[in-house]
Amino acid sequence: MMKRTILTLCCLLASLLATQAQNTDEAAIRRRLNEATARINALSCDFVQTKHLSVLKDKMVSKGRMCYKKSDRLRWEYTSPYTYVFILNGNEVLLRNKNRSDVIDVDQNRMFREIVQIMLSSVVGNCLDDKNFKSSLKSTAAEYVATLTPQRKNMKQMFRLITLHFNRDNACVTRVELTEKNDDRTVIELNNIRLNEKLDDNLFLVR
Amino acid sequence: MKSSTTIFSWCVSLMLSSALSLKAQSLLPSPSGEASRYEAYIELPRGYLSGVCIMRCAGDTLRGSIFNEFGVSAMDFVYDRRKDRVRLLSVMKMMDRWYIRRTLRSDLRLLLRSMNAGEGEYRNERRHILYRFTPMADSLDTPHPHDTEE
Repeated sequence: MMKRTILTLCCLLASLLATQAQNTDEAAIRRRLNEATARINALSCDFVQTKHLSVLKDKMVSKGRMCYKKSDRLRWEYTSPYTYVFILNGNEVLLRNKNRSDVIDVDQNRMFREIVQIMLSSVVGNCLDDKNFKSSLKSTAAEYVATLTPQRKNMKQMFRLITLHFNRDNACVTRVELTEKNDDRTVIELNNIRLNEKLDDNLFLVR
Repeated sequence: MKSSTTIFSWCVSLMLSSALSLKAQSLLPSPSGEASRYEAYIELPRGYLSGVCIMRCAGDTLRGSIFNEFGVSAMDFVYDRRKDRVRLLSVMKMMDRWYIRRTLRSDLRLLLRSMNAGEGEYRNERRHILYRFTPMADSLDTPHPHDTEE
């Protein structure tokens, strides 16, 4: 009876210590990632987007380029197999496809504001302390992985889960996974990442 | 004289039948099961949806998914060619109203009929909605190094 009590207490203590260690680890990772994202003033890269369709058991691959300039300039451009440009400049967004071109005021459109926020946060990786998400972090040999669960209704309606993969060496986002409620998944892989290079302001013109 | 008239008639018939067969070429995926991809554009009175539609045929059933350029799903559907009926499997939240679903079911059915007749466009005159699905050139689904890991 005594032995069993001691054994139970030891197990409880071990799990408590493990939880504390995990929390400490997560806090350290969070701090490191936040410091790294704070140092990003500009970012440009190529991306490959793969949309996995659960209904058709098929996938669609798109490619493009992305440029970001702190804190509210983003150019997201698809080059194949379709051409599509999304440019954020302050509170204006330009959407351009082969049929039309539209400029939207983000301040007047809540849904767009949320979409823009998600895009910026995913690209830069600075949503770990965002109260609009419940986040957890873990590390593997090659990377840090942040799992974000949307808390706001609008975002929850679009995505069930968002996963960000960070390179361990430079703490840059290298992969974004967006899981929808219908189990479709979009994976965006960022390649040829160039940090803090000078970017032409013309890249972000909306008019 | 008679033979040249015959040859002429034969040429005209050949041209006409070629034109007719071209016009009637279905834009829907073949029953072999291979997926077809389209640039999708749906224009509404107060906005629009653009992106991609992927469809695949399996026997009398055609399954399709429509999503925007960022990969965000708009709707998934199934079309029974024999019954000429569309069933919506899922619809994005902002369109998930019974009256919108009813319009979508009807419009998709008519659009797919048009596509089967070789026409990639359907216009709902009453609701002022335009649907345009343009077949894509073979998309670049080239194997990506990370795809095999998944």
